[in-house]
Formats: sequence, structure tokens, C-alpha cells
Amino acid sequence: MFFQLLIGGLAVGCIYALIGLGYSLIYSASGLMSFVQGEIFMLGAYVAYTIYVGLHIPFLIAVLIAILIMFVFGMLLERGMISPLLRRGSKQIHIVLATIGLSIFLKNFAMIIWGSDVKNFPSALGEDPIRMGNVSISPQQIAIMAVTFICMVLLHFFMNKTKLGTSLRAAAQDPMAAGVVGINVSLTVGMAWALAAVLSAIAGILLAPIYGVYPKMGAILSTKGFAAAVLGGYGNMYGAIIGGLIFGVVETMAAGYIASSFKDIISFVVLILVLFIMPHGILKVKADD
Amino acid sequence: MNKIMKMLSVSKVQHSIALLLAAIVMIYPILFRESTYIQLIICTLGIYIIVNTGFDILFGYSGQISIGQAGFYAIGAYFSAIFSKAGIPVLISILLAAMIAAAVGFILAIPCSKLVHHFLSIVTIGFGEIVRLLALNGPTKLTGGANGIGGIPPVNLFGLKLTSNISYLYFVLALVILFLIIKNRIVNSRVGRAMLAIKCNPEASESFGMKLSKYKSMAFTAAAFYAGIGGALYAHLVRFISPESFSGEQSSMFLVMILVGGMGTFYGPVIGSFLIILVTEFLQTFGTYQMLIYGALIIFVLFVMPNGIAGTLRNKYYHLLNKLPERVSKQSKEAK
Repeated sequence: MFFQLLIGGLAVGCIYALIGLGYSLIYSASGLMSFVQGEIFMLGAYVAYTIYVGLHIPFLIAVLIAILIMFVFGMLLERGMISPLLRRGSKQIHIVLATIGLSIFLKNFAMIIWGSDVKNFPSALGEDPIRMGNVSISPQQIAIMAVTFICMVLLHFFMNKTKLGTSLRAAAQDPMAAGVVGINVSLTVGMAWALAAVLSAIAGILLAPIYGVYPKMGAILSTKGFAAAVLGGYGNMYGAIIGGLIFGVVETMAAGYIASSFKDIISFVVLILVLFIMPHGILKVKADD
Repeated sequence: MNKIMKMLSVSKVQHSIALLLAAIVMIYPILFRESTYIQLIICTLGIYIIVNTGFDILFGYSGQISIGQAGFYAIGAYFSAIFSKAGIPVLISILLAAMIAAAVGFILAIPCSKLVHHFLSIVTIGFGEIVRLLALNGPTKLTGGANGIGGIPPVNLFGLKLTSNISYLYFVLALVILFLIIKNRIVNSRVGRAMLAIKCNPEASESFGMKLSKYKSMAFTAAAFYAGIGGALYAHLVRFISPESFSGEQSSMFLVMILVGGMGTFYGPVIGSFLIILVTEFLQTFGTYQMLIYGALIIFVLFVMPNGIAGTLRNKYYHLLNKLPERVSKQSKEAK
């Protein structure tokens, strides 16, 4: 029972970590908060579903196309909505509201295009669970953990070893100084939003075979992804990963040992307590990160 | 245009316009006795005005965002329904429910007064969800779970049962006026000015000796009380409540109403509630496209008038007043 729940919790935690990473990227690059991450998560799953099931294109290529589309979407979101609003002198609160508006729009857009029923996303790995003693793991859970791990390693190297990643970090730290040394700050900010969109879309595609695809699939997950980012230390990449894994395990354990109908209540109470007791998160957010 | 603005700036004209509007509002339901649908909408409008007026104290004056107002709204509705079904007089149960909502608001404000922007918004989202989930999965004997509570008794005003929509409408209207006046008193008092000061510059106001958490939690409590009253009125209007009515969408609707109307103004919440109700009723004809257009509208409003309608109008009004030659000369005379 314990190990079974642990594996389930880690898999869900990986999804939270991916979404939380997106929040952290956006926050560190522009100091803003986006409420569309959940809808990007949903949209990513829908786009992949349409390409894979609708157009019968091989799974890996379909996923790559979907990721590319979501990358462009994230870039357009920043270029087309966020930065024009900022240029008009909008405050943070207006950005929050604009993203809420967009999330309502996208949710209903998906409902009109794809319908509100749950679409079954066939897993590319098959459904037969792997048995290890009395613990059974589905191939999709292994895929979630593996892909999340790969994403994190890639992101780590991207941020620390490539020129674009370094300029992204520099622009996040001090936009004006970064602009002075010749970094295209607006491009890097757009890049951060695009990467956040990609991470959310990957999470959506990974979770789709387990829960299916439907317009409201991202609504509650996005809040939990944010909670994961806060728990780990908001704005810190590694904090989001730790926070996501802890949040996933705690939530699954609570559902398993207490009652599954209280799962969401417990996770929100944990979130409020974390914000109250240690607003800096587990990894204290440092200025030079 | 200048002449019109000059006319309007005379307080006698303003008073007569206000009287005229009040008269129209009072007489309208009598003239349209038959259209219960419209009466129902006007009742809902009144309830939304009360909730948004309170929310404006929190958001417009104190500068704290909340995307969980539906949580307080739900607390008001559920407690009033439970109390009144238990046999407590309806008026007292409404008041009790609102006080419970206010108490919850005060408790929530203790952690919230430290938080800003997105942290605050996520906590309030979480709070709204907790309340909704508790109503859904909590003590089902009390809340009825997904089925909700039915057969809520109507308001009993000193032996007069307000069962018809018209009589309820006047009851709600009286409360709307009462709560608008209360808000005006709060906002123009020392407390209201302190809230505005904290919103503009927390560090400076703290250095003047204002306790931030005190004023912030006062705003939270007031907003929760207003929302609680609104929720209780809603419960006794439709006499059936279920968790569906108190979703996160309801919370963001309150937020949009304030935003469209203009936050931090007296008329803002009134205009916003009126317009959004009008728009949602109008959008019903679009069926599935309703919420799609609604979402697009929010973004549009943010692009065109970030201060909301009342805020934009106020700016335009002052702009025109400054252009009036007489007023300028009067001021310069005084200066001499």
C-alpha cells in the first residue's frame, strides 16, 4: 500500500513539478503570475490528441509538433497580450485579470472545438501494468517520471550551459543591465513564457492517457502546480521540482490513508499553511539564483 | 459638452438626477408587475451590488485581490439556509450567517495580510475551493452534498412574508441603499483613508504609525460580511442552493464586475454589476459562445479602460472640469 501510493504520488508530483517550473520561469523572467498555465496544459493535450488520434501521425512526431505549437503559443501570448498590456502601464493585478480572462476564453474555446466530453487518449506504451512484488506500476507512470527527469536535466543544461539560457538568467536578474550588455531582453522574456508553455503542455500530454482529455482538466492542476512552486521556493527552478514531488506524495498519501474526497481540501490547507508559516519555501529564494 | 458638464457639476442638478433615478427604480417594479423574470434579475442585481460594494472596500480601497469571494458568499448562503430551516427567524439568521462569514474573513485575513498579489490570489482561490468542497463533501447531513439545500423559508418581515418577487425586490433595494451608505461612511472615515494610504504606499503609511495588518484585516472582514449578506439574500431569493452556484467562476465574475465598473469608486460596483448582468443575459442568446465572448470581453476592457467605466468617466469629468474657464478664474480669485 505505502509503496504503491509513493509511486503514484511521485508520478503526480512530477506533473506538478513541470507546471510549477513554468510558473517559476515566468516569475523569474518577468515577475508576473499567469493564470493560463492550466489552460495551456489542457490545450497541449488537446493539440497532441488531435494530431495523434485525428490525423494518425506517429506518436513521437505528433508530440513534437504539439510542443512546437505550444512554444509558439507561449511566445505569442507574451508578445501579443502581456507586453502590450505592460506597455500601457498595466499593474500586476491587471495582468492577473487578463490571464484569468484568457483562461475563461480558452476553456470555452476548447469546449466549442472539441466538445465537453472526456476524450480517451490512448497510451503509446500500452496499458499492462508492470508488477514488482505487490506493487504495480503502469508504463505511463514510468514515462511520466522519465520524461520529467529528462526535461529537468535538459532545462538545467539549457539554463547553465547555453548562451540563450545564460542571457535568460541575466535578463531575469537585472533587465536594464542585461539590455546594456546587448541581450535582447524582450526576446528572452518571451522565451521564458514559451518555455513555460512547453513545460505545461508536456505535463498535459503525459497526464492525458491516465485521466483523458477534457476542457476543465487543467483548472485545478494549475493551482496545485503553483502551490508546488510556492512550497519549494517561488521563482527557484529546483524548488519547484522538490515542491512538486513533496506536494504530490503528501496529496496521494492523504487520499489513500484519510479519504479521497478530502484530497483537494487537504492540499489547499497545506498550501495556505505553507504560505503562512514559510512564505520563502523550502529552498530560500536567493537573489543570485 | 462643456455646458452639459457645467450643469452637471451643480450639486442641485446632481441631487435631482439622483432623486429621478431613485424614483424610476422605485416605480419600475410596480409598472412591470407581470414580468417576474425581470424582477428576479433585478433582485440578483441588488445582491451582486451588495457583494461587490463590500468587495470594493477590500480590492478598490485596500488593494487586496481576492479570487475567493464566492467562498464568503457560500458561507452566508449555507449558514442562513441551515439556521432558518432550524427555526431561527430569517432576519436573524441572515445576520448570523453574515457574521459567521465576517468571522471567517477575519481569520483568513490573519495569514493574508502578509501576502501580496499572486500569493494572495492563490490563497483566496484555495479558500474558495475549500468552502465549495466542504459544501460538496463535508457534513452532507447539513449541506446536502451535491443535491444542495431546498425549501429554504422566505424572508419574514415582522409577520409579513416576502414570498413574491416584488416585495423581495423592495427588501433587497432597501438593503442595497443601506449598505451603499455604510460603505460610503467607511470609505470616507479615518479607516477608509488609512486603507487608501496603505494601498498607495505601505512603507510610508507604516512609518506614520498605521498597523498594516489591522487595516488589511478590517477590509477583509467588511468584504466578507457584505458577501455573507449577499449570499444569505441569494439563498432566500431562490430558496434552493447547491455547491454549483459557488464555484470559482462566480468568484472571478465578482472580480470582473468590480474591474469593469471601476474599483475604488462609489458607483463602480453598481455600474459593473449592472453591466455584467446585462451582458450575461444578452449573451445567453449566443448559447455556447457566451463564456467565450465573456472571456474576450475581460481582456478587451483591460486594454481599453484599465480603470473601469467609473474610473474612466471620473478622469474625463475632472479633465472637463479643468477646462471650464469660470472655475479656473474662481480658483485664481481665491488664490489672490
